[in-house]
Amino acid sequence: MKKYLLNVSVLALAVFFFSGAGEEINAPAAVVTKVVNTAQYKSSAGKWVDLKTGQALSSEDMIKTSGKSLVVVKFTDNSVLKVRENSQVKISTLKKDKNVSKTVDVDKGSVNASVTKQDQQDFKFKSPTLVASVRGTSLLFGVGVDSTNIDLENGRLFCEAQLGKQESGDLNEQETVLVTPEGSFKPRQMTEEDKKRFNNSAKSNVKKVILKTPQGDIVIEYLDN
Amino acid sequence: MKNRVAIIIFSVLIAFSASAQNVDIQILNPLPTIDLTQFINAKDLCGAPEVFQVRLDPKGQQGFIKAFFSWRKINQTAYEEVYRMTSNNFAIRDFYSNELCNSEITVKDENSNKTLIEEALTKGVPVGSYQIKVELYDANGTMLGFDTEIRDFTNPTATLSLISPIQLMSYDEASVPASWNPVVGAQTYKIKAVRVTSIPASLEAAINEGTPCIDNQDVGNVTSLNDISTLQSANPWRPGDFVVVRVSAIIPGAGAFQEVNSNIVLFQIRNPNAPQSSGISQLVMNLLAFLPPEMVSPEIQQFLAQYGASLTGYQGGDGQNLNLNELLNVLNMIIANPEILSNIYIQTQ
Repeated sequence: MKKYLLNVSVLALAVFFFSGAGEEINAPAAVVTKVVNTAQYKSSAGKWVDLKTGQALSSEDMIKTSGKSLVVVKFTDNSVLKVRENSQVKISTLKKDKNVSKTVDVDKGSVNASVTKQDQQDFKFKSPTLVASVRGTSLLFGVGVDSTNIDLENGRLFCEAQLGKQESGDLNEQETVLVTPEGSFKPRQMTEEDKKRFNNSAKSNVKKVILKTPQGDIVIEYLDN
Repeated sequence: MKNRVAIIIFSVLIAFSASAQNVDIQILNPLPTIDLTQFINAKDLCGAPEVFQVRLDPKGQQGFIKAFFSWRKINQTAYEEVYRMTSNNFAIRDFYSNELCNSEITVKDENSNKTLIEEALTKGVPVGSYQIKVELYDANGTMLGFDTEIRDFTNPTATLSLISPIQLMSYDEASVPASWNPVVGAQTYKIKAVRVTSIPASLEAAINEGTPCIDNQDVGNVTSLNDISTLQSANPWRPGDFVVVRVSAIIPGAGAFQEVNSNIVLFQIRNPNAPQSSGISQLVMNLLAFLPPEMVSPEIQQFLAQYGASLTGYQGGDGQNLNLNELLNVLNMIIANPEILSNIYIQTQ
């Protein structure tokens, strides 16, 4: 009986010590549902190749868009990322117990995200200057040369500046914040310009107008809701 | 008995035949131009165009007329009387409707349906069926004959469309033709034009709020002009300008004129020193600036410069035709939000 109790204790201790470590998931965590114009994809061990609709994305995979390009990514929990032009992101998934945490590293550019309610799971957006923990919101995460901007349409985010003062705090809906290497966290209400930027970043349906001439048609494509 | 019946029928037929010969109504103006309010009283008929002519016999004999004008609305079975009048005695002769106030044929009594006329005043020329009836009596009050004319009028909406200038085409400064479809009943047409220095967001606002270069110039009862540049009175257009133009049909009514406006056309004055394609292709050229250089091939620019002036139409992505306003709305939206512009390319069949 004592031996049995010892084994259980050892197992319990093992669970206690190793539960925080987690493991990376090799199974696909998301799929590319739309590619507008040209974008590239790189697996954790591979080279950059042209990205096609339907590409499955696993942990540590990267996406890179060029000018006027757009990539729409859908996660298994139905969260949707719209990777805007001239952006580079890395997707990571980590399994912790039954929960799968997801992290989107935005190296540059911007990502519009519609994140479903995460319950106990983590969904984070990271840049060199900021980490934002998401529980279910619509946001625009934009990364410049040395700053990060978030426009939050709805929901709430917990933000932590990574440099300087390393201030942190909640970002509430209809608020925006710009975090620089100085590390302050000072949200403000979204202006009409901020809302316009957010709304345009959510557009992903390609529409056309066609100007007809006897010699051929001039086709103008634009993004709409 | 049979003979008596036959005689009665024959007599009635003779009487009707005689009636038809004694009174003959000839409708002159197309009834769509008739405004019920013209029948408020004879004075209004006097000011209106000649709506109908009544031919009466025997000429020279003293007599008088009773005239009735009725209107039956669509989906109704009975005519409603709009106006009735009885004249004083006069020497029987042919007359026109507008002679009922300024000749020896004078009105003894008259009555008009104020409710219907007020309805007409608020709704404009109503649809339905019009009936004009004229009865002729001798001086003793014996009916000499009558005639009735009925016209159905189901589409009163006069539409006026500018055929030229053509939307967004370029014209020489002193050679801008204009033409439009005729509007029934129009007495005259007026032209208004306003010059603008860029493509306006709203053609309606541009024509209404801008300083006119052609200020509602009356051009008479014509439907085409070789060159409207000669109509300019102030603020004349210059090479490179955009111009919005509209024509209006003036249709006489009772005491007022009805004005029917055409569509508004935007065209451009050609600049011989800087040959350019159409305004739309200029807009598209401007949009190219928002695309990454690697997406703008020299072929696109060459195509726009070469064929941009020969646009024949605009379509949405699913093939539906767009009008100019819809196209401009999209282009303006893209110009205001260049980040949504995704691509421009040439598609040849």
